[in-house]
Amino acid sequence: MFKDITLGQYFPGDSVIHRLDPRTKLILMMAYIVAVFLVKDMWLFLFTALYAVGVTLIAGVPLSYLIRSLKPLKFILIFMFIINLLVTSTGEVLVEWWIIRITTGGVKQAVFITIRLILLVSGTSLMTLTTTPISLTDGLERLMMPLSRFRFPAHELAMMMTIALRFIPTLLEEADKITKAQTARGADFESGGIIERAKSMVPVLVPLFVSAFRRADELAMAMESRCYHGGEGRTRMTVLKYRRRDLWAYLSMVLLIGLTLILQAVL
Amino acid sequence: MIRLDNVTYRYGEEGIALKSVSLNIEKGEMLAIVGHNGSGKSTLAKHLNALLLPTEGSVTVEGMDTKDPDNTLNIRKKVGMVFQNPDNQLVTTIVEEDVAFGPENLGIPSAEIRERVNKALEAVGMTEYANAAPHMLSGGQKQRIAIAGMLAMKPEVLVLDESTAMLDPQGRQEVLEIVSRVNKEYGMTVVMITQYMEEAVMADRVAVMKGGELIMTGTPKEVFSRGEELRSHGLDLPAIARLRDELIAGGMDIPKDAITAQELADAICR
Ligand SMILES: Nc1ncnc2c1ncn2[C@@H]1O[C@H](COP(=O)(O)OP(=O)(O)OP(=O)(O)O)[C@@H](O)[C@H]1O
Ligand SMILES: [Mg+2]
Repeated sequence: MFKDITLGQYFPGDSVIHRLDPRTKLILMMAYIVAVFLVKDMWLFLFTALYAVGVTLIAGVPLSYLIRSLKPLKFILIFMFIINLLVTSTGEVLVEWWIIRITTGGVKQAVFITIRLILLVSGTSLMTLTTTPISLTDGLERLMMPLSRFRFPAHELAMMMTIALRFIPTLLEEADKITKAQTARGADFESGGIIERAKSMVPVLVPLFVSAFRRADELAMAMESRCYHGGEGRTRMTVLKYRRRDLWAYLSMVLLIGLTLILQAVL
Repeated sequence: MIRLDNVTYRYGEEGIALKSVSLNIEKGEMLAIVGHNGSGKSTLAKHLNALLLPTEGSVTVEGMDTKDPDNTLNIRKKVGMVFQNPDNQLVTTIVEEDVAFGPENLGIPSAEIRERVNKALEAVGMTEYANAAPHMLSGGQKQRIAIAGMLAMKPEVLVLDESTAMLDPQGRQEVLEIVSRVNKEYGMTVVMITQYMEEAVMADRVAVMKGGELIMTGTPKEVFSRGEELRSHGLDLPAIARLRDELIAGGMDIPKDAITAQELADAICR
């Protein structure tokens, strides 16, 4: 039951996109979000959408993977669509029935917002699809490093993420084992309403928590034994290095944002 | 190398875990510490790299007192420790990154870390798993990675606290082979804590603990020829030593300190 949960959604590959520096990908993802928000006219989404499609193709990620990342959001998408459809009342009236009033402006707005959301989600998904969680953590740590001068715990946060990534599979495996053990003793996890099912999880979660704390204790000791004393004076085996391809990636984003801004101003 | 001087340790008010233990760990030796559950073996081990500080008495590592916080890091550089549960000592999601964790903490330049990691993985025969995820490995493999993580720090002493206890026989054999190679080839001092008397036979010296006290020390031959005494403390002999005593009781002429199968066979064939 627990084992099926996969972490992140990394799509293994060796494309240029995969090999980009994680810092580049993080910054470009944020820039892409800005680019999407800069768009005010629907047809200008053409360029931002093309950009996402281009990245997908170069990365060799099947389009179905990208669509799958939208699935969990389908209710939000539908909800946002309907809300925008109903609350906007500009342009011609298309349908009027009881308190519902659908206008051409509403349809336009609803489609606009939906496209924007889809592009935002695709942009972030593209990053997690092409970057391993661990190199993402690395990139985040380096990007946040300058902030540690202001006592921002950049290294500590990255360490926490690393440990979480390391132990989530271990804990899921353990949860699976405990569930099986409790099932063997006659516990029932399948039937009953939501509340009953939630209650049946207690005998799984309690031992899981107890063991997690024991693990944390032992891990802390092992880390101390390995001379861990925070981020200060710590070096890394793999040092992130910008390459030519990172420059091209940044340039492509400058082009996208520039194009969007210029066309927006001209029109 | 490491000197324990009348070390007493209490967890909280009562619960005395070590009672005035004195022990000298020599450079290059392989010392096995045996004893029952709760006899204080782990507590003793944690004193060797300043994870615990003695309530009374003192522990010094090459002259450095563990009580001085300025020494802590230097002591931990010299004394590496591998624990029992292989799952709870690996920190990162990629094997080679994990082996690099210790050297990274020491602030070693990245090119040298890379070199050390490659050598350490080779030493434990895990080179082909360099990019694997730890949770996909077997217990024995994880424990080998943990040892590699220590070797990459180039310590002078390697302490193993029941590091074979959770492994299957094959995993245990793999780990023992590496440990004995590290001791023989690199001349690294090894302190091996174990419940298995068979493992203690391969050591240069055996220390026996009971109720927080060190009750016997000596070569495996000396310790395991005192079968009666060990048994009176509720401890068992290695299988070969038991067989030897049975044979002697049966009237065969066998040296009382034979502890390897080879020695027994030689004595019987004589
Ligand atoms: N954190 C703790 N708090 C309180 N008492 C403890 C703690 N850890 C160990 N003890 C007690 O100290 C004594 C020695 O424990 P220790 O873990 O050193 O034994 P051990 O020989 O390593 O046993 P095992 O073979 O089970 O690992 C035991 O009586 C134990 O109950
Ligand atoms: Mg112990």
